Amino acid sequence: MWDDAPRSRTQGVVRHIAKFLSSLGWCMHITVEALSDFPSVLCRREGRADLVRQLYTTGIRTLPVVTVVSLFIGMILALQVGLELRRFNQEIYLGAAVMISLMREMGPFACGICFAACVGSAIAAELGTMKVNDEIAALEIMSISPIRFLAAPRIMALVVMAPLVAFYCIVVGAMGGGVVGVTQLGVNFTQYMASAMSIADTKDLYVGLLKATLFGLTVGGVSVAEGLGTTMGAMGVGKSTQRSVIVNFLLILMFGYMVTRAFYD
Amino acid sequence: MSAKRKDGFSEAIVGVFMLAVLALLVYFTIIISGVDVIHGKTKVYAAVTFTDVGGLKDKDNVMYRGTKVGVVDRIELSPDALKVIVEIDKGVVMREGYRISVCDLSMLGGHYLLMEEGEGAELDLVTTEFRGETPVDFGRTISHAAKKIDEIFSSGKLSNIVDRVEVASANLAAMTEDVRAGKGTVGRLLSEDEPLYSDIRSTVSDAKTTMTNLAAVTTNLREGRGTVGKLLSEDETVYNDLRKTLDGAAAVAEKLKSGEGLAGRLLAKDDPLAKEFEDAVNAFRSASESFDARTTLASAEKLMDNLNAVAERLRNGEGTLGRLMADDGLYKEVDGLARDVRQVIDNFRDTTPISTFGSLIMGGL
Repeated sequence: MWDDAPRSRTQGVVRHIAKFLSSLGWCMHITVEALSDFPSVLCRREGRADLVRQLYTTGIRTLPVVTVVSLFIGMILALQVGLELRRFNQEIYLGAAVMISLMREMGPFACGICFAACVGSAIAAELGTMKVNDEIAALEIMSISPIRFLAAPRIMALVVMAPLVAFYCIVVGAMGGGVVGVTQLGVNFTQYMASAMSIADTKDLYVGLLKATLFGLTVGGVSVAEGLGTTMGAMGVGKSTQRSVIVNFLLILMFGYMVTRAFYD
Repeated sequence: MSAKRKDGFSEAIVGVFMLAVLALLVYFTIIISGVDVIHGKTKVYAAVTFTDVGGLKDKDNVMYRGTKVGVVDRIELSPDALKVIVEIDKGVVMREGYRISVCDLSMLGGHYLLMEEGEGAELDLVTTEFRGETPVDFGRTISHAAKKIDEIFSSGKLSNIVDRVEVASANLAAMTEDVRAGKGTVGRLLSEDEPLYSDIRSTVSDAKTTMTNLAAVTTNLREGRGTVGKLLSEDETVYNDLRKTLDGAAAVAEKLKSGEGLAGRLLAKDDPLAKEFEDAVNAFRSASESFDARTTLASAEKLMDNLNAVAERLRNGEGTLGRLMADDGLYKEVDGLARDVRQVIDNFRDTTPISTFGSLIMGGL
């Protein structure tokens, strides 16, 4: 459609916008179709097995990275906030500050970026390679929906694992903050946890988990769409992988803001 | 490891992870919901009605006896008030005479709801419609004050005040100048005026002496010295004496009443002596009534006039007696005469023996 070179700058901009909208539409199409295929994944024995494999890949394999990322996020938060609180002799509120940051934003965000970097990029590369190797075309020839067969288990695994991993991030991050509070700011750990639990609220927790679920769905949809839309051989696979990570990061930030805006006014 | 065993291992790991995280999530949810799994729900909802909450927000702490017992769950707007729904421990006890107020958390902002217990009968947390006190909004108060000041500025009242202050200041300056110059009592007091200082010192000294005397008097009174002191003291001698005196007076009065003694008989109407005394009094009264006081007074006045006339003549040296009193020549003559007589007598006394002897001689011859 747009293979010929643009005749003017305006035409180039219009083509870019059209491509963006087309990609967005393609991504939405893949995501919605994958969601509609979730029951079929659970109904088929192979589908369930594939789902478990994807859950293992998505959740368990990323745990080391997630642990380190969330631990250091908690430590950084505690250190930065704690140093400021110490100026006002208010270190007792360190636990509350770290916990509310983790529950509302940093836990889901850490989960989202880990999924985008570890899982999303892998999905895009894997599906892209299958695409350029015509494996996707072979599935279609056999009347096997690549979305139901390849995309749905991956997206479903991300959607299921995202809130669990996000909660894991919150817990590990709070522990990391506690370690910094005890070792560097002289805060009693019991006092730190009491402060953290005093501020913790179910709304904050579940809005954070909802956000993580949305991030999982975004990462899955974008990564699958980029993988299935790969062209131009190995170079195209690299570009798809790169583009999936960038788009995922951007969407994680944007959706993070939107959800926060929707629930906290 | 076969593909089947590998799948089984993956499934187990995933299952354990999901189960663990879900269990932790459930536990965390229970904990932050304030539900005691063993003892049931530990939180209750109470409603507090305010006319103004002063910036209180959802999730602000609720303090009771100095500790956090819950949070503000939500604030509902009703037509004439604000209803604050608080989620608090069910162990909180509120009584009649309670106080619920919105307090500032710190200078940096933030609020909390303070619940004070009260001292009356216990109130049910859920069914009682508590009423909160309207908080003081310092910002609004300062803004109101600033508005008033602005009104004063704009209405020109301030210039009048300033003018008056200037006049008052000038007067004050004049007063201080006078004081510095030693004018007036205060000025003299503050200056080095010795006499006034001496007067004041003397007065103070007198006052001190008076106070000392007063102290001595009170000491005497306290110690029961003197008549008043004895009266005030617990010494019963004076009291007994006084009592005896009063008893004696009572006895005398009783005797008078019963007509005993001369005075008693005189006071008794049916006694002959009283009759005679009354007659004598009546006779004296009739005699005094017959006495013409006016005539006597006129005679006395006439006598006094005559005496005055005589005294006037004497003062003027009229008459023999007047001249004797006024002119000392007669006195000198009389004095000289007396001397002469004395001289004659002396001479006669001296010459008497000679004349006697001469007479004898001459007689014998």
